[in-house]
Amino acid sequence: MGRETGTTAPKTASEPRTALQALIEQTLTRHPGVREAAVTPDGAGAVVVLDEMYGPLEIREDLRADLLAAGHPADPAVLSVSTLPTGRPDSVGELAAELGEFASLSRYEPAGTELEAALADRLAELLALPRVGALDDFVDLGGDSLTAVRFLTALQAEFGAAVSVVELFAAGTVRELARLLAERALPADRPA
Amino acid sequence: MHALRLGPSPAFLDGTERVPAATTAAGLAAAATAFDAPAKALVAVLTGRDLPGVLAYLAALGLGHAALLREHPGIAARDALLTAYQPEFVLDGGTGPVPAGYRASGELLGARVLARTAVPRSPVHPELAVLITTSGTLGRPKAVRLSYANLAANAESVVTALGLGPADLGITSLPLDHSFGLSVLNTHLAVGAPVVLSRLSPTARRFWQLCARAGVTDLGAVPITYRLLHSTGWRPAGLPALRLAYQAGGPLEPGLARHFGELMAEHGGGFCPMYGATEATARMAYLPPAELMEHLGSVGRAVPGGRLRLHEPDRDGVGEIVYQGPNVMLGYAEHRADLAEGRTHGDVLHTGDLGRLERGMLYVLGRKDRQLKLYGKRLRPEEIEQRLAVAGPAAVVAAAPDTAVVFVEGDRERFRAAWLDVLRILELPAESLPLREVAGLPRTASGKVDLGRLRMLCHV
Repeated sequence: MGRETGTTAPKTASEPRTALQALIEQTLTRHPGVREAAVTPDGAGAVVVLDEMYGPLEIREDLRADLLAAGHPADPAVLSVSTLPTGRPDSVGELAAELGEFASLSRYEPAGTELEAALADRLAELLALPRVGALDDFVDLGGDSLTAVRFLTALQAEFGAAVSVVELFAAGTVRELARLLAERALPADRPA
Repeated sequence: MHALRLGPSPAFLDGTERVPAATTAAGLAAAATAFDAPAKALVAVLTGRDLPGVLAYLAALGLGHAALLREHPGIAARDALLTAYQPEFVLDGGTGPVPAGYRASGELLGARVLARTAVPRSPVHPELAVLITTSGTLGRPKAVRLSYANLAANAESVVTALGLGPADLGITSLPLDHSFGLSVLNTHLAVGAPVVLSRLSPTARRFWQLCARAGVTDLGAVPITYRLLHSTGWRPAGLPALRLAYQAGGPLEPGLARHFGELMAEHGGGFCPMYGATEATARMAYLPPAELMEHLGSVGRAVPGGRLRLHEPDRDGVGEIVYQGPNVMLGYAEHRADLAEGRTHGDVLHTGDLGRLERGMLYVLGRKDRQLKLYGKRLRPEEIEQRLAVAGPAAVVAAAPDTAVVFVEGDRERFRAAWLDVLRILELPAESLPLREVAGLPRTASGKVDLGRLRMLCHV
């Protein structure tokens, strides 16, 4: 932290906030899992300090649902940090890159292929979530070893390809899992 | 009549919320009233790791009753248990219809209490404390009978082995119908340490968030959990209170024992591999964290009060692991009538596991008989073979940790539907039971499938 470049220099708090920015900030601070929040002027990202029982993915999804309910179909990325940066950030992506392992960024990435879409749909159904992004981590989504077994059993029946529970956890995302599945054609006799 | 109070005053956290002592006391009193009976009774606790389930279990022990533990069985499994053991009382989630032969008789903190309408003719032995089912996922139930003395002895042994104390905070990281999971609860209660009641799996993000928030000091998990934590790069950094992680429920690869040993040591804590069996209440051996690196791959020495030896070791020093101690079960039970029996099994347990002793430390090498253990589930290959028999001859042979090869005669596509059924029913991933086709299963002169030759085929 503390490295300043022209693009990541934080704006001062005295600048007027946009309406969307204010709405997102308000929505976030009402969330039981959010201690503090700051939002980028374009409303594309939010930096949050979270209660330890919550993760950025959950906040991202709750925020989207709340904004939608309020009539604003926005989908901000959420960056979880331990202390808020001084002033409002311009872009959570750049801030995330700057903070490295001390921050965790969650943004929704839609499925890029038919296989990714199919996997995301199955996973959303299994975990009772409205949607699953291609870059969302299985464990962050609320998956555990039992749901993993159920998910993989369904995949075996549907795609005829075997992926192990350990491989699923290591792959983490729908995108990585799709890559793994595409590499394999029906290896039911593959000794693990 | 025997009865057991595991510890001074049980304390729980329901998630992150501390359960007030008054709530616990009132719940125990309500459970004692609900399970009041003229004679010793069997209480089936089918809710699991929640406050009503744990209090029902403790109240049953306090009354001198016996408890049958099973977390959320399906309807078929539940009915099989009720038919086989005829519990006088049942605690369940209370959503489905009342099973035949029972009436709703009350509720306990939101869970439903059922009472059997006809009192079973066969009594329950005074020493019997707990029934834990060991197999019968696909077939008839079979349970291990544990006594009050068994529970008390093993709790004391494990408390000493792990150095648990009242300042510790445990968590129900495993189901209570798993002997290891029940032992985690019992050991903490025995020293007056509180326990976080949680249904979360240690493979879930929220489990670790809960541990951090609550300040959990020690936890137990099975090998598959440690494998998955390893694959996701788990670290204890966010868990300042965590001082001890222990493992049982099957062999853990030495590399992983080293990995978690190093992680926990850096964190200022320790990692402790253990060896257990439901037939020995829960745990029989432990490798103290300080000796982990010197004996990697070993499960250590017997817990205090127990003795380990090898039966008829061969030239390589490999023999069946035999355990002797006060935690060895009374015996098995398949029917209600078996509950009237006292000790039918000596205090010497032939584990059926093959092992080797090196510098006084035990190394577990595998199952002696064909019984399989896949992802912590104990399975009889015969059960799987029977399911596949609709498609043709099949034989199941253990190949590697958590993997058994299913050899099928002829085109394996014919077996696929039945194979998928087995995976679904057992909740096992395909790689744990890979299908392999052979033109004909090798057979012995007497016509039986030659398992020895199949075992050799696994490795080519």
